[in-house]
Amino acid sequence: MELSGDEKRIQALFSELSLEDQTRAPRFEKLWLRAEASATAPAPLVTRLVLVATVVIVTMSFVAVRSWLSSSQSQQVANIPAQIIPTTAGPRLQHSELSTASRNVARPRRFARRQTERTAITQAAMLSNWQSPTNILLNSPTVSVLSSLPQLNQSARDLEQFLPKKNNELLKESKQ
Amino acid sequence: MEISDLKAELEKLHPASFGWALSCCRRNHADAEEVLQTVYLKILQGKAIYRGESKLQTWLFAVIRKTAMSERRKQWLRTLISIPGTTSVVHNELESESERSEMQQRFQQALAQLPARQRETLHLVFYQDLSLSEAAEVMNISVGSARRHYERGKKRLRATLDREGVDYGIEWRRKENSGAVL
Repeated sequence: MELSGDEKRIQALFSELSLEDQTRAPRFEKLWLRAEASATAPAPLVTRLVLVATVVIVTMSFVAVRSWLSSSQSQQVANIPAQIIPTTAGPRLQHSELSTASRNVARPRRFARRQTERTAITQAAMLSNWQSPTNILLNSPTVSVLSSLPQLNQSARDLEQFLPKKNNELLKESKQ
Repeated sequence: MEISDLKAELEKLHPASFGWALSCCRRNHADAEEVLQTVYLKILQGKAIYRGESKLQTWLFAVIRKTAMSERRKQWLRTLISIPGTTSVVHNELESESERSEMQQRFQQALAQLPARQRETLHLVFYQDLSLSEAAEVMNISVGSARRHYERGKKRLRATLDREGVDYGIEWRRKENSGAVL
């Protein structure tokens, strides 16, 4: 790189600085040996503590999420009203027919049956609470008029309200 | 490259590396030493691997720069949470301050006033004798940006030196022509 006058001056200052730095530079061997020593040394206590803390926090959060999920599921099951579910179980076997081998097989079957019952309960609860999104369209402001019976002379009384006062008085007099 | 070969090469580059580490650590001797040691540790642990894609010097300088930056970040965090015994050693700087010539002191003050990128570019070009493209590679920027930092830094340094030390030129001329009457 070709240097001009000012650049040469700056470079002279930098080279002076470099000479000064070289006299103060630590020995290479010293730094290299220190680096080698710390490379073989075990991880510092702080790092290990941080690692342990991270593992503990992760485990605790996992357990908390798990328990929260299970509790919310059990709450859902508790809120469902008692309903009669048609059982889909097949014909019952007599006790005498059950052998010891079939008992062992029955356990996972029972578990599976419970599972299907549980899902049936949740589905039934969902169906019973279901409301049509167009249900609101069936309601109208005249529902109360349509659903109640009118009283006798009610229409005549309603008309009196709309007549002018004078006419009202004349009507009263005529009545008298 | 074998670690023994790499070690030999690093030893050759050690003075230049220390100068660059000093520049990256704002001329703090203790910090520069720590950064250089961390760089050697990274090389030994295989965290910094030289793949021969560039010159060893530019690769090493890039690693030093990155390490210095992360160390500075760590120091800043430590000062935020103020852990005792972590304040950097400043007395080294103060001690050597008196030893330096007045001109050199002024020059270093002027350098310190420059933005980091400009200071780094000037250091790589004038101190380490690298080309602008090599300096750009070390700093992980484009050559155009490096050139811009170089030009602006030079201009600003010259202006600061002219403003602060009137005898900047005189001192220089005295050095160049010791027999000349000024």
